[in-house]
Formats: sequence, C-alpha cells, structure tokens
Amino acid sequence: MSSAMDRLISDSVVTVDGLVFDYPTQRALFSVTCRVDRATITALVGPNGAGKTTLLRCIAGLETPFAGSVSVAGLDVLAEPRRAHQYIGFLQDFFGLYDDLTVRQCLLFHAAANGIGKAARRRAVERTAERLDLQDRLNQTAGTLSRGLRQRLAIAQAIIHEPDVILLDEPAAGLDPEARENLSALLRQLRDGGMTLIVSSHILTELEDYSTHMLILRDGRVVEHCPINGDATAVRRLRLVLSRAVDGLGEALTTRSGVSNVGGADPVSASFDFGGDLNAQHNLLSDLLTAGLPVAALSEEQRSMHQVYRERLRRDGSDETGRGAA
Amino acid sequence: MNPEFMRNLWSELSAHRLIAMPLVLGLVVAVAWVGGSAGTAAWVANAAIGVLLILWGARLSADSVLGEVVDRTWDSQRMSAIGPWAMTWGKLFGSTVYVWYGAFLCLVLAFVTTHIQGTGYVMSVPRAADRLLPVFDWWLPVKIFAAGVLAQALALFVALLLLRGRPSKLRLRVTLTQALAIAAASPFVFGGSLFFSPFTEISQIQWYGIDFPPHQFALITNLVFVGWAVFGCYCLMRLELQCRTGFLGWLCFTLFLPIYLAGIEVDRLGALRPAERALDWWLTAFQVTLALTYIAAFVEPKGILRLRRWLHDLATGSYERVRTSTPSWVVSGAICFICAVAAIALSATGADAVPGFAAFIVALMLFAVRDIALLYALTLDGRRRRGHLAALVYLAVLYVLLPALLAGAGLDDELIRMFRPELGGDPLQSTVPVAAQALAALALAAIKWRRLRPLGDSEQPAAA
Repeated sequence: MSSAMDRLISDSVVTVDGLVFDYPTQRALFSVTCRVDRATITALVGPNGAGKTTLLRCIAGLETPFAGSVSVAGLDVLAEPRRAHQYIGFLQDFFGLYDDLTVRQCLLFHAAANGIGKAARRRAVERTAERLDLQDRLNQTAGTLSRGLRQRLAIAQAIIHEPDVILLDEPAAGLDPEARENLSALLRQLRDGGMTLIVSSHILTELEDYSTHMLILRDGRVVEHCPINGDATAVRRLRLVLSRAVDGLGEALTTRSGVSNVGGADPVSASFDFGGDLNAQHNLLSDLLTAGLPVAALSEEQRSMHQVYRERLRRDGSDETGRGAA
Repeated sequence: MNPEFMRNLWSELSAHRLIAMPLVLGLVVAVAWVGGSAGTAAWVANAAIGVLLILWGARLSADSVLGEVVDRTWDSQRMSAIGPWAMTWGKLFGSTVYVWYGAFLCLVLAFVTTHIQGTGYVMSVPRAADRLLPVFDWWLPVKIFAAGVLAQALALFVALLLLRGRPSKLRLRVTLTQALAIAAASPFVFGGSLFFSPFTEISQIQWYGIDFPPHQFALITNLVFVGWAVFGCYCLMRLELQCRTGFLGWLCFTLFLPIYLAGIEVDRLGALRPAERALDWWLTAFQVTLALTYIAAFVEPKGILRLRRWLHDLATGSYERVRTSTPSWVVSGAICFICAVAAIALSATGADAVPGFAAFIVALMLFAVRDIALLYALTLDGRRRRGHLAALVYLAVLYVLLPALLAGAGLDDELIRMFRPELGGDPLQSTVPVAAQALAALALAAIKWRRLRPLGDSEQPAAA
C-alpha cells in the first residue's frame, strides 16, 4: 500500500465501506463509502429522505446495516458496538433530557453512564460545563432551560466522555440566530480541541461557517465528498477571462489536463473544474499563454456551499438521466 | 453505584415525595382505623402494599423503558457504557424505588396496627382466610411483595418486547403492559387454590411426587417466575444494548416450562397408570411448547430483513450468526416437534391407544405451520400492527367462523376437521387437507418474499 494511502487511512477516524441499509420496503443506503479525517467538521447534506439520519445512526452503532462495514477510531462498529460507543458522542435531531434532574445531575449521570470513574466525574462535569458555558446553570433543572441551553446541555452530555467523533443530527433546528452563532463557535472549538464532527443539517449557510468538508447524499448514495475551502489539492472551480473574444474557447479548455466540466463558455470567459494544485494551475496558465490565448485573468471561483450543493445535485441528476437513457 | 439506579433515585426520591408518601399513607390508614378498627387499618395497609407494588409498580416499571423512548432519551442510554445486567436491575428497582418505599411503610403500619388490635388475618392456612388469629401473618405481605416483584419484572419484560417492534402510541402501550403484568401477578396474591384450580378447593399439590400446600407452591412458583422474568428482561436488554444474544435463554425457558407444568398433579392425575402418566406428561409438554411456539411467532419482530438475514446465515452455515438470528419460534417449534414424536410413539405402544391420536397431533403441527406461514405472509413487509391484526382476523375466520358455518349447514364432521383440530376421525382426512392449507400458506409467504426480495440480493449481510 502506498504511503499516501497509509496516511489517508491513518488520518481517517471514521471509515464507512460499502454500507447498505434496508427498510422493509425500500433501500435507504446503497453501498455508501466514505472516510472522514480526524479534527474535521463534515457537513452531511442532502434532500429529505437522502439517508442522512440512517447513515449517522449506522455510524453511531444504533442500527445494524444489511451489508458493509463501519469503523470509528479503528474499531469495527458492527462487531463491537459497545466498545465503539466509548469513542462516539451522538446528538439526535429530536433529543430528550431528564427534565426533573438538574444540569449537574444530568452531566453526572452521563459521566457515570459513560464509564468515567467516581473520582474523575466531578472534574469532567466542571470541565464540560465550562466548555459549554453552563457553569452558572448547574443547579437549574433541565426542564426549565431555554431551547438554546437545552441544546448546549445535550451536546455537553454527548461529549462529557471526550469522544473522538461527535455526530450531530440537525443541531441548529429551532435555535434563534444568536444561539446558532454560539453553536457554530462551539463546534469550531470542539474541532480545534481535536474532535471530529459530522453534522447533518439543512441550513447550508450555517454549515458553511464551520464545516471543513461536505458529504452530499442523494437517494442513499454519496454524490460528493469534498473539502469546502482551502485544500489546494482538491478539485476547484476556476474562472478564465480573456482580453478579447476567441472562438472555440470551450473546446480549447476541454483538451487540457485536469480540466473538466467546462461551463458558461462564451468567447471571452469560461468556468471549469480543475483537479490540480497551484503548480498545475501555473502550468495550465503557461500552456494557455503559449497557445496564444489572450488571458486576462485565471482565478478560483469562490462558490458558496449552497452553490456547490445545488450544482452537484443538478449534475448528479443529469448523470442519472444519462444513465437512464443509456 | 449503578448509574441508572442512581439517576432513578435522583428522579424518584425528592424531599417532597419522601415526605408526602408517609403522610398520605398514614392518613389513609388512620381513616380506616377511625371508620373501623385497628384490624381494618391493618387490612387497608396490606391492600395498599398490593396497590403500590402491583398496580403502580407495574406501570413505573413499564414506563422505565417505554417512557425513555417517548422522551427520546433511550438512544443515549443504548450508547452508554452501562451493561445489560446493570441496566436491567437499575431500571427494575430504580424506577420503582418510590413504591417500594411506600410498601415498606405500609408493612410497618400493618404490623403495628395488627399488634394494637391483637389479632390478624391469616391467609396462609387453607380455609382460614376469614378467621382472626392473634398473630401477624407474614405470608400475606410476603405474597404481595413477591407478586409485586413479578408484576414489575413482567411489565419491564413486556415493555422491552414491545420496544423490539419499534411501536407507536407508546403511552397506550404502557397501560397495556401494566394491565398484562397485573393480570399475570394478581392470582399469586389470592392464594394457591385460586391460581391452580379456580373453581374447586384443593388441599395439596404434588409436583413430581413432592407434596406442597397450595399457598406454598404458589409462592415458590411466583419466585421461580420472578427469576425467569428478570432473566428474560436481561436477555432483551442485551438485544437492546446490541450485545450478541442467542436463543439459549429462550431454549432454556422452552425446556423449563413444560417440565415444570407437566410435573404438577392436582387430584386427577394421581389415579393414572404409569404408562398413561408418561403419555400425559409428553402431551402436556407438547401443548405447552406448541403454545410457546405461537406466542413467540406472534410476539417476535418479523419482517423480510430478519428472515433474509436468518436464511443467509443458515445458508452460510455460520453457527455464531445462526445462534443470534434464529427466530425464537423455531426453537420452540423444534422442541414441540420432539414432544409430538414422543407422544405419538407412546400412544402407539400403549394398551389403550386412542384412534386417530397420531393424526390429531400431526394435524396440530400442520395447523401451526399454516398459521405461522400466514403470519409471515402478512407481516413480511414490516407492517406489524396491521399484519398481526389481519392474521388474527384470518385465524378467527379459519378456526371459528368457517367451522361454525359448515356445522350450521349440517355438513360432515370430517369437513369441519379441515379447519378445526379434533380428535378422532380418519387419519388421512384429518391431515391431508390441513397439509394442503399449510402448503398454500407457505406459497403465499413465498410470493410475498419474492415481491420484496429485489431489495438486496447482491450484498452479503454485515457481520453483526
């Protein structure tokens, strides 16, 4: 195995391979394969019914798939779900709290339930409460907390045992803008602390604030899994602008190495996917200049997560139509 | 301390509730005393133990898991490091700790009021339930306490069973579970005679030649079934917490129940000859295991996914996987088959062979195959509630309405035997039509299976 592959696998804290999950009358996941790197935040997005929650529950070891494998922190979740749970924190979309317990009791219970010894329990509660800014609420009963604070407590319960991986299903649902901002900051803080997060949400603008990667599911299949920003080796969308019109610009670009999905080609500009690093981009620019193209600008298009999502789904839809026609 | 038990202590034993319970109970007993006598107060205190432990305790116990699902805290418990045994007893005794607190207070009140009165109700001596003797009869609270634990353990067991089907309307099911547990545990409170022979007074129960007074036997039975109920809870909790759990527990219970029930002799059996008693033993075992097969088939989650996994495991011959994926009704059915063969063999060698006995037993087995195949055909698509209801309706039509219609039309008994198992008659006419029905039901299930099967033929099941 190549060293690059070794590194890829060793950096992956969640590995999903060929996951198939069936409900009695329909298949929810079709051979889903993905790897999630350590200390990243992956936005799990897709239309309703795409299989996001099912995928999260399979990773959490709460559901048994029909086929495939899931490993978290090197542990086979299907073979050893209970051991794997020690490395996972899971916050469901509709979570519950023990409303008649105080925040301190809720945290103490989850610390004990997750195997934290008696001596370390109080320290864990204090540390987690501080992290989630709940120190002043420790003696308040959970049932009297606001929606945002309940969310914080639920996350605190999920991370009190310092899991490697945190799975969050629609964590911002029902939160006001301020609470959402706080949540974004909190998730970034957890990532900076070395945790790996997979966040399922419909609110793409908010996911963009903190996500490092995007995993798009559609009809139970992975449509795209890519870094969102700042990875020079990833496929990027570039925009070329010429100083004067040149006929056949689209065709000229399509033949170049690393170029794909040329779109919006008119005689003076075009956008395309480029699968190379900055050196390769430099080589492409030299190549285009050598070929006599009057290049005025070659820049990376800053697309919002929403744009990437829409574009990828649209492309997947046309691929599907093409496949269907074939 | 067990975290689940600790959490329940925090939830259940607030200062307010700790003060309220003795105040309310004291008031109730005082009213009974003022309105009657210290003896009345003692009776009320004993009755309150039953109300607290059986009526209320069963509800709390069922709610300890179904309530978690309703409140959406169950998945976080399933992901915790709490083991299945700790979770079982943490829920069983943690969720009911408040009613146990009340029950012990009632016990003290009953003891005190009995001594003040100077007489007590003696329930443990047969035919003396209405006599007042100058003693405090410990049997009564002991029986109620034992029945209380049984009701609570059964309620938890049924609640865990219900969870396996991922049902809706959970609050309603808490009430249903509570009612079932109360119905199962209550007879133990009222004594052995009522439990074993509701319509006649019996003075002695023999179990494999050992004599027991009925009330003692009822208490021992109660405690034994408490053990099985708690063990059942543990097994189901293992499944919920995703520990590998095979059919061994159910196999043990399927072996235990016929052995236990077939050993009970109430008056009549003592007169039987040894050969008749052996046949009677196997016949009882057959009936019990057949009933267990039906119960398991109805209660266990079915659906194409489970069936597909089991068939795949059988095909690949992995014992470890087969152990965990085999449906419980298959286990009971296999024991039932052995009992049927033994009963047929004994009846064939006996001096007083009953005509058509073997055909009757075979017909019963074939009816079971038909019914279970029909049940699968109606539930393979995962629609549990509707499928089970439809199966019950069809079985009622087949077992009750059709025979009644045929009998009303004055048709031959042999024709009625096609739909209702009855002893006697021609062996071929008793079995062949039932075999045809069983085949038809299997074909129906196979058609449904084929219709649903395209979902996942290409992949191999995961190794969970």
